[in-house]
Amino acid sequence: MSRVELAGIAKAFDDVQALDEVSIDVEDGSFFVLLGPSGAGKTTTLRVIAGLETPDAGEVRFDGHLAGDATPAARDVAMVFQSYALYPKQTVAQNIASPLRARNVPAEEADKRVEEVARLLRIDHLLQRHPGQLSGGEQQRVALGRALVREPRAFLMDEPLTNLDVKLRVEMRAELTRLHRHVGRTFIYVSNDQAEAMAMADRIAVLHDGRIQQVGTPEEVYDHPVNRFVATFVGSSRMNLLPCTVVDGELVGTDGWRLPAPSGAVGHDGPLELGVRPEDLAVGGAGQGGHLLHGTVYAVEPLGDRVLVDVEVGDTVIRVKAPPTVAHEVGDQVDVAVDMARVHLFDRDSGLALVHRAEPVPEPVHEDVRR
Amino acid sequence: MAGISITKLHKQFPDGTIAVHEIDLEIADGELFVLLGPSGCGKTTTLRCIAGLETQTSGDIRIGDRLVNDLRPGERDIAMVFQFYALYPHLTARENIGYPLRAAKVPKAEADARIDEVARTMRLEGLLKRKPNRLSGGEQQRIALARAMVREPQAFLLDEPLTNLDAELRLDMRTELKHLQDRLGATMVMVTHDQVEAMSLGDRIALINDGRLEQVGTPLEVYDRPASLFAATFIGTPAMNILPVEVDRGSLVGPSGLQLPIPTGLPRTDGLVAGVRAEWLSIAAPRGGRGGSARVIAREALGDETIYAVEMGGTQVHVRTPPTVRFDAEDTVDVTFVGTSPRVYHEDSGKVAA
Repeated sequence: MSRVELAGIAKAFDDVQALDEVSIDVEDGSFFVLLGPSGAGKTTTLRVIAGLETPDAGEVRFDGHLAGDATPAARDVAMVFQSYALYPKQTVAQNIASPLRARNVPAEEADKRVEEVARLLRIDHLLQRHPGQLSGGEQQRVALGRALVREPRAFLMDEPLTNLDVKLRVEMRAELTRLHRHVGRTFIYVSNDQAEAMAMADRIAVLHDGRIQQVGTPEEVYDHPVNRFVATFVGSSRMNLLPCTVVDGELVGTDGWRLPAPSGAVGHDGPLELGVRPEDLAVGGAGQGGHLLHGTVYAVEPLGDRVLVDVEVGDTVIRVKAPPTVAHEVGDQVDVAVDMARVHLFDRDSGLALVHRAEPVPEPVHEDVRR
Repeated sequence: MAGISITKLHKQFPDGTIAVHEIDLEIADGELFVLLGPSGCGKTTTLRCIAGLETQTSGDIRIGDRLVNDLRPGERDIAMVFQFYALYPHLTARENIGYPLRAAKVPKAEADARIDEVARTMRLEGLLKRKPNRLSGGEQQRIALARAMVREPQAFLLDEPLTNLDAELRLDMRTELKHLQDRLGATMVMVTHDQVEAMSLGDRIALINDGRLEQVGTPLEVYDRPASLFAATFIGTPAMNILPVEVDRGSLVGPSGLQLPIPTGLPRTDGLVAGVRAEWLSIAAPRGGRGGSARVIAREALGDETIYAVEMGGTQVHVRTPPTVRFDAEDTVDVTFVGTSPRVYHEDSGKVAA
């Protein structure tokens, strides 16, 4: 059982401020993802939680108790890294059992636990093999098994899927969610892959330059990003950004287009950026209320389940997600309809969101309560 | 520009490894043709044979009308682009583009004229005096391609050109490459192991497995109508669902009673599996009828869509839904086929049955 809280964590390495005022509250039993590009401070945050780094300022609490100087072992957390670091000369069973041996758990009980964990991870048929005989995905499961066998209060995972190929990563996502639900313990998971974070997290903390940008459910960070960084980092196709200003109650694009200004924009006379996701645009423009951009098809990228149509509007290329049947040729003149109910608006200088979509719908953080 | 024709290409290395068993390809003039497959499938060897960097054990390669089997790489009149980023940092864009002409000792007046023409075609006129560090990623890529263009090759060969770029830049470069190829009408043969890249860029894709062609077709052909189980599972994310099925009185029945339409011409035989894309299925609250009962294992809210992993009669199945569809883990749901027709394969051979 473990709620993990960080309050005002700061950490510098030489003159680089790795973490600055990092505060998060991870609910007991939740799947929490620290998401950000490399260098954002995700791994440092995880290491502070584990007790592998001492913060310059701020506090770490487990279930309300200060962790203070407690060693990693005393914090009773298990870490899983992207490199599997298995013992090559030991069998899978011995690898999984190694944390139990270190704690002098009786052999009979250890065997039972190893088998349980192996069944859960679907590697029970591999227990007598050696790591060299396993695929990457199987090795990663063994590494997970070694962490799970201990039943620690929280699992800290540092990009454990990074070394797997794309297909396997996608499969392992559902696997990890299932595992989390089964184990019912706190998972804190570091990732630079937004799809992975969206797919697995109960809540996501987006980090950038050592600071927390936003904490929320996947839907909240996707639909209601608080700034341009979150808006463009989260999403499989990056949010389109179109420079503009407000003139007489209208948004006027630097590229010459005009759209009605959302209410929150009125009175803002600085430079802005209109943010709109590819799925909130439609090529052709029929039946979308007539809020149109005009442009030239720049590239067409079929992906099977959808087609991405890139359209050059003035000097800006915007991306539209269209049904797979949409056919356009490069050079075609097209209208692009904008779903004005779903646009975002950012202050061009600060990057802060002025307008984003209607208020978030509250949703239960835990999805595992209905058994 | 020219087309490329490959007949019965076979390549065995001195150590006995057969990299390419037999490959036939007709690449049209002006086409962006992608060689796609897992590592070790023979795609790069095929490209290197076209380039003349490897000599095939047997088979013919023609560029345009010219049989090039015995020509050295430099005589084949093609441009090999390994990576789009290798610009000389101390040279201006103009000097970078002109570099191959200087190396070939083309007279200055002619070289200038050719650089100007390429720059105009590729809309680079305003950038020619800049050095690479003052150019965006997309601009650098255009310069790199312009440098290959200025030699006026018959075709471009690209070996994993986007692989080493970071994720965001890779998407930009993909768009830029697609746009340029389309505008220039250049023949390009590109090798990649990334199926998304292959789909988004290719006019046609050759899927290669174990030194043999699995399928050649447009992106939508290989996506909607994979020719084999290998093709079905290699292309698409999540991978196509492969479901055990039985023919029962005129209908096709999958796990947990999932009803699928029977494709025309399906042979009456055992050992069949159906290939069903995640977006060919939908899920709803249970209410009986044609749906198969399933239990939600995981819900992946990706923002613009949600992928559900559900369990149906012991098989894990992926379903793609709009973001507004909301079920929780452990919910019981009905899964219904909403596509046109499933693909059906022989489970043992992996060959398509209908």
